[in-house]
Amino acid sequence: MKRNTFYLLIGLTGIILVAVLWASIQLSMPSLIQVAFLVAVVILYALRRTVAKDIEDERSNVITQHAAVATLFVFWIIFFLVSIGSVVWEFSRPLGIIIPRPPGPGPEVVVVVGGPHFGALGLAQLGLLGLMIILYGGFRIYYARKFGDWEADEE
Amino acid sequence: MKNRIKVLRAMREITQEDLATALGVTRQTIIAIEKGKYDPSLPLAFRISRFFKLPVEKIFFDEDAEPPAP
Repeated sequence: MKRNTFYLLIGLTGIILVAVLWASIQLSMPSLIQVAFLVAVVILYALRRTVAKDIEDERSNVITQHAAVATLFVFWIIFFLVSIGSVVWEFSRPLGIIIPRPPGPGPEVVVVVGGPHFGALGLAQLGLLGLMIILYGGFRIYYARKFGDWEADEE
Repeated sequence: MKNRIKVLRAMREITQEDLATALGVTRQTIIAIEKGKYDPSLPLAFRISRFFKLPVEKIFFDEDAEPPAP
């Protein structure tokens, strides 16, 4: 399979997954999109093995390694900032913990209705994942330029 | 690190594409090495050395050092 055909299939799979996501939300069935995503990834990995590969030499490996390390280096800081902010947000509200106290008049016990909002957590994670991909792409371009990609040559 | 690959190629009338194919790398890598943007690994340096039938130190040299005599 040609490389461009494979990219077209990735795009097509993405569109199908968006449709499945929509159906999954409509049916309130998270397992639908989860299974569909897993199947799509397995199929794409299997198809990738049939793609005619360009030469992947040591320079492209060095670019990939540098970009991955730089992405990890920046991403863990951003991930920590978001996480520590979320922890502060979580502990800034009543936790619903009832502390045993002796009978008689005392402060009113606060009962929190409802549990954690996992949907918001998922959105934040998707945002962070998107940021990770953008960071990796940016660093890849930076290191590709640094190690001589797009160099004009007289030949 | 500097090198004499471009000169050696010209002397033998070898294109970057031919050299890249012989060494199993991309033409972009040859361009990057010739321009000093990328220092090859030791295995690749030795492959280049074998290709040109010259010692490594006759092809690659330190930036502060004088180029080796051909």
